Amino acid sequence: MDIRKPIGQLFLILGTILMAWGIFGGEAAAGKLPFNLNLWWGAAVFLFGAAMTYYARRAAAAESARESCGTGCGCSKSQ
Amino acid sequence: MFAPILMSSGVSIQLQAVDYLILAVYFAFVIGIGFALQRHTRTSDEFFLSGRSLPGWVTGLAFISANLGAQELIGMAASGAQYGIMTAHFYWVGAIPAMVFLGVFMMPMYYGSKARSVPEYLKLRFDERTRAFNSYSFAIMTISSSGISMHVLADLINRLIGWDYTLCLVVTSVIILLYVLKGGLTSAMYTEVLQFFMIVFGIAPLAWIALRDIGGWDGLVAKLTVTKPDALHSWAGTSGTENAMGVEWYGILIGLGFVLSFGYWCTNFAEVQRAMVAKDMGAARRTPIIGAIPKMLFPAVVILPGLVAFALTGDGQGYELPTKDGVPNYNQVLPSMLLHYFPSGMLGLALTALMASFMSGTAANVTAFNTVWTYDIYQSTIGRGKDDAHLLRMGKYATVFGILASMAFAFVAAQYNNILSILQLIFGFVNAPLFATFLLGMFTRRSSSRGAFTGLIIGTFAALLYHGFSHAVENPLGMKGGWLAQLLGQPAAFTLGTELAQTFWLATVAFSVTFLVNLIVSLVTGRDKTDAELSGLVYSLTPKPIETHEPFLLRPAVLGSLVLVVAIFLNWYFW
Repeated sequence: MDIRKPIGQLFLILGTILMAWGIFGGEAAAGKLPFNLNLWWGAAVFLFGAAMTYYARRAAAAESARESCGTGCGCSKSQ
Repeated sequence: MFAPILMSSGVSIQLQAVDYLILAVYFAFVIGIGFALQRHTRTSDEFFLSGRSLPGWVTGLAFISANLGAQELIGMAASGAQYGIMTAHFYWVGAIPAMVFLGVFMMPMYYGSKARSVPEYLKLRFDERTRAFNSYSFAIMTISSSGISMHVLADLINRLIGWDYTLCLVVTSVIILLYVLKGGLTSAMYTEVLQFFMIVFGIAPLAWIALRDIGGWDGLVAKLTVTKPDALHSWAGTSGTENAMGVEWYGILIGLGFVLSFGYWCTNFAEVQRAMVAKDMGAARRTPIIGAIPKMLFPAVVILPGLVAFALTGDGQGYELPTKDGVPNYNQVLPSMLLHYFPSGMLGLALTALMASFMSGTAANVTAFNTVWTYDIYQSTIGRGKDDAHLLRMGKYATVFGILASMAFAFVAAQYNNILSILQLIFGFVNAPLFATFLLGMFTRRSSSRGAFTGLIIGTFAALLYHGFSHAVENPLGMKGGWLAQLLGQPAAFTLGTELAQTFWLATVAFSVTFLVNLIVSLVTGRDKTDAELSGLVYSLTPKPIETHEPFLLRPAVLGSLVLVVAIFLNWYFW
């Protein structure tokens, strides 16, 4: 199992929760800060989750391409 | 309005539904990872060693996360407020050089010998009794460490949210138990990686927001120059003991920078295990060096909020340090800062990060414990010749036992308050003599089994004696030092400025005595293993790992040197 997959999923979910709370949470979500921390940091968390998911998928695609070529299909196994 | 309530006993908070939601999502993922790994965890090799298949960045992040337990988040923020930038010594002096040394010089033998644990290496290099001595002392140490970790977590949650202390212990134990039993070492290490990112995303914004509040770095410097100029320097006051730690520069370099840190990072199996299960020699050697990179930068996340907290206090408006009986309660610095700045939502994320760090600290110790118990204690005595399924079952029993014993120890730990000192005291006893043994065993052929065993016994005994006759000024004679002097009705032979100084010197004494006894006994009684038997176990008899196929910057010696240069720069910059 590629750990990047669950990390990606977790942070996508957490980022979504934070952003939604930042937008709809009202006063409780704003706190005493002069800017919407939940919204902006939620976006950062979400982006990180998206990046992890992207790399996990890319690795999985490369893996399955390697497996499907099998033996004798002419593609280099040393890759 | 969401307002923090400051109470005399500390800080308490009211969580919103969103905070519980974040906590629940994290727990669901952690348990989910355990179940997802279940089908990859069918043999003892997979359960205890992750099948030696993990890439370097996973083992590297797990390597530092395993240590990010009770010691770090709460303790380092507390020390940041109390000692200032000097606290960074625990990173730039007390961790980085040892981590690089482990990767470059020690991993070739640890990984190359195919030992499954640190005690097993001792068995290969020396003999069965050295392994037995290390296995038992390590087993006791890991259980107490994970017990302390659990205690801090339950205590923190109890104070912050008001959940029942025992309930906290039980709930976190059950979660840890679930994912370790299902996924073994792999799920513990995957959770550690997850936890690493949780901490970065949950705690890092605090340093930034707090700095912003005080007017940036310049504002912090301006404020501290007036109230506590010492706090801005890591080395400047160390020509004598007139500094926050009460230790001279050579005490820091030898005690912390050499004995304590090399002892901890290079011989503690809970750490070394993470590197031992990497997929190949290159990844194994890079593990601690990759870990060293974020480790170097962590002071900005964990120490800085403490420093700012101290600077903010005293003007009667905004943030104030929590107090207990009229004196600052440093252990509450981090929670109170989080509470002061974070709105709900972010608070849930930070709290989840805190809980994650404690839980994975416990899990790291438990996974090291079950391996040492099964391979080094059980299989080498009553369980000789048992099949793999039997060993796997035994590992699972050991996991359950380890967690129950940790819980029991948590109740014991509840009586003490200064966690960092106790942990370091334990490491002073166990790791310093062990490091002396490794240094001689890995880098000389002459160190013999007899020398190693005698050295370990006498070195540990010397540490006990020193502890029994020394104490820190702030502590009366007793459990924290000087108990033998107290028993004999005499004054302590050694009085140190601070507990920290006592710990440094305790470790140094234990190391020196072990080293000398080992050396002398080995030289007098002669070698008991031939060069052929020591091949792959001693540096000069181990083939140098081939690294020409690796990218230049990723070669352990190159990457390690780069890390050291940055660490030296940081020491110089924050002089």
